[in-house]
Amino acid sequence: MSDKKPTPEELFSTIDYKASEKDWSKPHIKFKVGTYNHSGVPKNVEYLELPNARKWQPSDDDWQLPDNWKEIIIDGIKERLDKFRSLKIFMDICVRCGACSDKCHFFIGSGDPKNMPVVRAELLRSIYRNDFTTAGKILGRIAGARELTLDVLKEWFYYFYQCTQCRRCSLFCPYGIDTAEITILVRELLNLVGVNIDWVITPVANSFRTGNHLGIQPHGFADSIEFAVDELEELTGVKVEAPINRKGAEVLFVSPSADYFGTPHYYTLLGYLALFHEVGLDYTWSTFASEGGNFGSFVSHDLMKSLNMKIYAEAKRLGVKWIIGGECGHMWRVLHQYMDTINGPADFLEVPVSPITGTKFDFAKSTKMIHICEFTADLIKNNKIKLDKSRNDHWKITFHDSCNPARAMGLIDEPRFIINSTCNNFYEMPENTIKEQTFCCGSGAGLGTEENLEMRLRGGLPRANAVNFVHEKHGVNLLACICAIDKATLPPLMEYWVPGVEVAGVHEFVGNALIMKGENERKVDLRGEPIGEPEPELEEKQ
Amino acid sequence: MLNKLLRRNTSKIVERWLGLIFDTYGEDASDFFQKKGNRFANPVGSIFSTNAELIFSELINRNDKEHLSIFLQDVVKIRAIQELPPSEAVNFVYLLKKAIKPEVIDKRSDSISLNDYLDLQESIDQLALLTFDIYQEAREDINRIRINELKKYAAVINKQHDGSV
Ligand code: SF4
Ligand code: SF4
Repeated sequence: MSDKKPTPEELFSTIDYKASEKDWSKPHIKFKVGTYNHSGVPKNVEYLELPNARKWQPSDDDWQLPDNWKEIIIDGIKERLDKFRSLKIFMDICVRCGACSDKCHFFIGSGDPKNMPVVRAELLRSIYRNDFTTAGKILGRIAGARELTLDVLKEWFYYFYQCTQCRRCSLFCPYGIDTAEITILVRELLNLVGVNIDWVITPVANSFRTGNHLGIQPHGFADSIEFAVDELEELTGVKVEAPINRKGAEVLFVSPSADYFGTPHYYTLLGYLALFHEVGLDYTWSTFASEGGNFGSFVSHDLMKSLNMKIYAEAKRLGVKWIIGGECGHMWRVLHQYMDTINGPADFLEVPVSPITGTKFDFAKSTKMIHICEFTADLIKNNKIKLDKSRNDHWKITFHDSCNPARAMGLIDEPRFIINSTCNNFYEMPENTIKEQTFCCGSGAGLGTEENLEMRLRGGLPRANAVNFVHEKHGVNLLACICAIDKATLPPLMEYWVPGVEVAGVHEFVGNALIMKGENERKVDLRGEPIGEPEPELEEKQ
Repeated sequence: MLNKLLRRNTSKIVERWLGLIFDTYGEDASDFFQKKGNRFANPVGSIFSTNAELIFSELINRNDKEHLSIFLQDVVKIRAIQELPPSEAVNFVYLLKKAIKPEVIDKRSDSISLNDYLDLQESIDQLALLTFDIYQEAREDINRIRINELKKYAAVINKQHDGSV
């Protein structure tokens, strides 16, 4: 190439104004089994009073949309443009600088250009231009506009359910365009014509019906907690209290339901129970607010609001002073970014003050809710608990910053402080894959189901690649995180990409290391595995 | 000798091979995957680049099946989850033939025997067969993981029906 800079005229002469025949604006999605989510079950769509409940699948040619579906979507865009100033700005200000384009894990893993965040947003922006801008109305495709067609709608479904709303892209955008917000709104639009996925719809319906994603009824919830109490006694010799629906407790504790039915979440639950007992926290669980997760936020702002409301309603009913939330990801996005404005301020509650250390959590003075890692880190900092780190010596740990706690609420130091205070062997993954720049598990925002596994393995590749690095370099055998979705979806990701790495929550280490009054000599960890002994496979590696 | 020629031109051949592999992903992806830089920002590009070189060197030197399997595995696992039909997923091996051809044709000389050339083709065909085995294993892994996920989910549902959650 010559070094001579071309003149503007020369440059202009090279621009081809003809839209290419193969250009991106012509959508055509082939739904390949294993790479998309199945549609919402009609009875649950109906239960939630969402429109167009019917039996259909994304791979069907005919999606059985209402006759006026286009009108519904265009009106829906209009309504949202009026309601959310951010949407209008995001539609108008992107300069296509490309800073975000190679930051999305789905693009990094697949190379599919429509997974570049800028192009993902363009899928909506092109319709916006066509129907809401003068340039688009007059110039059409030259101005990057295109008409809304069924193929476009199918493409929306494919790509907006291939975005985990992780916000990694927005970190790099000089204008702060948040593609996750665009995804949230497009999913809302799709729901207006009955286009949704079951892994989101059914948990939301269950949460309305019984209080949690799996539809576990209050007595089932109580049984699970009691079972955990018994198991903890077997492991430690200490019988703890785990009050449920106790009026007048100081603190309401809300955790994701997977903590009491999922593995490895369950070991985190044992950790919470041990800790609360040891510091004598006056707290209660709730059956009505037995779900911290809020899949409503993956459907619409309205559903998010209604599910979130239960936490305050229950705090009021039980007469608690403030709230602690467990290890969950998107729950914290909702709590941190929306709760105060959609359902707050919670004037009937008090600013959280740790009864053990006296620390006042001023940052939560409006929501009145703090993260369990904030609570525990404060206890450790003030030397209020005794810890034996060697009980976690069989683990070589790395920490995955879950997207929502890291990027949506900046919870970066506390979990690391807890891990370093409870474990001897902690190794960070490379800097550009952790903290604010963390790579998503590839399965968030309702995508974490087996029917969609291949897409998840693709999206999770950048995360797994960084884990593999510390696995090979330091013999890391445990990936820690503070998100229930991660705890469910990282194990299969590891199984495929980095076999030999297990997954755990941070409070599992707390439960292991915690020296409890009256405890038996601990020979096994909360998993029932012998403590302190590195696994043979790892000894070889060292 | 053919082997000497290939050894001398390893980096050129590997680069051409990688170019051909990345082009199977289309223009935007190809540009991105070929970007050199941080291996964590571009795992596909970096794994392919590292392993393509390892595979090629092994092939023209020791040609040890076990080593080749290890080097192939990371590449094949990636191809196995990229929505490619099986034929396309393993096709990258055949692209090596295409990448080598210009070297041989350009430097056509009496020192390259037809026999050596046919042997090389044969080794690449063997490499392709090995790749297919690894691809199949990866697909089985995916299905096994999928079934395990379902089983885990079913176990929770069963517990719920038993009344134990
Ligand atoms: S929010 Fe995450 S998943 Fe969605 S486009 Fe941005 S980087 Fe990709
Ligand atoms: S970084 Fe921001 S302005 Fe640049 S292309 Fe991406 S969304 Fe547009």
